[in-house]
Amino acid sequence: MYATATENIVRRLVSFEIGSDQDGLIDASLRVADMLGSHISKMIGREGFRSLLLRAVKLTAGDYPTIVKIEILAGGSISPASVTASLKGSDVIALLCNLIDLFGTFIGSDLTLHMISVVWPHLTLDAPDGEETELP
Amino acid sequence: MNKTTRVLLNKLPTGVPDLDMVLGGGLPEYSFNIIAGTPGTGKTTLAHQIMFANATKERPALYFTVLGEPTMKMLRYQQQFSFFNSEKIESCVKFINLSDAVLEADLGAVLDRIKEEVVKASPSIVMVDSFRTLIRKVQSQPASEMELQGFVQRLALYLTSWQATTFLIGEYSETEIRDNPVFTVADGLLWLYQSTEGNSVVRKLQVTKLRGQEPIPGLHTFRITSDGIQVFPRTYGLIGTDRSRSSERRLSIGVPELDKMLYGGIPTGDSVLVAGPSGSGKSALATQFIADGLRNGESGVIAIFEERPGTYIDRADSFGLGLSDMIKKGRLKVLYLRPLDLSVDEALREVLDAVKILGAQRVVIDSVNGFELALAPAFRQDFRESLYRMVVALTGTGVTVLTTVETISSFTDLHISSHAISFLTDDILLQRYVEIDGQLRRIILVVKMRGGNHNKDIREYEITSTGLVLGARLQDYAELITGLPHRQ
Repeated sequence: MYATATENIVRRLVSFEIGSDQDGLIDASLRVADMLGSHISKMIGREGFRSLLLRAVKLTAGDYPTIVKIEILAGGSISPASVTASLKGSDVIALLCNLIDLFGTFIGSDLTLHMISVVWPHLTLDAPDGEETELP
Repeated sequence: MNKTTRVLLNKLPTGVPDLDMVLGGGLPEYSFNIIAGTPGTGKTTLAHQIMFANATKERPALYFTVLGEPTMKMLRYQQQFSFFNSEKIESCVKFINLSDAVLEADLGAVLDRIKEEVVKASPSIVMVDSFRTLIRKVQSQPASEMELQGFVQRLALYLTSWQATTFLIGEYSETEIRDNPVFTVADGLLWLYQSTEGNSVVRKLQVTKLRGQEPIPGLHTFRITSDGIQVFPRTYGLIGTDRSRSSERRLSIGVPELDKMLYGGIPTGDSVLVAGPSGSGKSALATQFIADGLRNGESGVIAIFEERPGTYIDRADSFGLGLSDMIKKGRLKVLYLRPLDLSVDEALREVLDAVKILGAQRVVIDSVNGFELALAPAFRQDFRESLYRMVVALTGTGVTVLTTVETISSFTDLHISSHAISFLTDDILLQRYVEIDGQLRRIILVVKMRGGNHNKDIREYEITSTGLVLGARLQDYAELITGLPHRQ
């Protein structure tokens, strides 16, 4: 299970993306995954990112079984065709939380947060204590 | 443009303590270098240390990874070192994975990808890790040797033109130097070695080639700690030292009657050897020598290899020498050097640093035997050379060095030193046991003083609650130095 702090970060990222394009929760969440993927793949390779995403799917599937329906393409992105109506926003949020926690496990939370802040330079990741970001 | 002005090679710092000294001042800017060595020798760590020392926002470092250690793992392990700065990632240090390009495309496409990133970032430092893997992949395809040579040549040309200092990291073997084109193109070649001898691991570094500079030749030991790589140049302390021996000023050895035998004490800057069997009071004399200096406002360093510092200092304090207080006041440093895979250079570095920090005038090395035992087996083979370097480097700073050595206790034979190191010292004091009237007693004599004359008496001594106390000359006995004298 991912950390509460991670969930709050993911909520802020998704909320930021919703705010920019007025997309739905799932579209914004998938865009967060894509933006993370395209940036981190450059560093660790597409195959490296794909492996982490597959692992995150596995970790998420216990509490959010619907997530197994998504297909991870060879390039490390989520196949839009596999995103069906049965997939909920909370499934993708949980996937992102597990993905970010995996980064933290391998490279530490400092470096993970630093890399997220490079992808979203205008987003403040530090929320005041106890404050949760509301999502639609 | 002034025709007589030669181009000056700007030198970049490596960020590795004392590697710049080995390289002859640092890394030549815009050079194209290879860091070679077998797995586990520290190539990637060295590369990261250099990268973090030089990367800035304006001139970042690019670290291309190729089918080697996964970047995620590399970041995981490298951030354990103190030099790793997470804040520099992305802004100053950029990791770029080339594995896809290597797997899917040819050499030309790999070069294009590198060029693209270099144009975008305008880096000061470019690392390719592992270049060996890249070449292996290429060699597995029907590419000609000329094609490979052309790739290396174009890569070097391009990266130099873009004012980058480049490092290709790879697991090469020395047999490849002749046939691999990359070694021809390279300006610099840093070779890292690691060998296991007995139970000890010894790491060494060699600058095999460095165009435009004068590196210190030979193998230099290095250690990897949580701070990264630390190099111990084999000439550390020897270059630039000018031992101008002055015998005018003499230092008390801390035992007044012994000073008289030395005709006033030890000449400043001398190397003194105190030889004697176990329990004869060598360490007691050594601490009296240091304590005398401390009493006169000097500072001192004691390097011990056998006893633990606590025990050593407690015994000295039991003589009323008050060494503990001097340690607290920062006037005395006791170095406990006993890692069992120590190199001479490392030990010397520690002692010289302590001498410099304290401004010490007196140094004790207690003992030669313990020092030898603390060294990795490989360094014991040339122990005499090691001691020579240590004594020359220390006396070169102007300090007076007292070294103890344990002799094999034999009642019929006299060995001043089992290491035949007496030639290294200016002055020699010998302690030994003798049997007199059914008692085991101790005698001391001055064997040699390079600076001049000395008293030739053989004196009995005791170790009392205040240290060594000399008694009378034993003039009624003959053959005292055999250990089995007889009355005359």
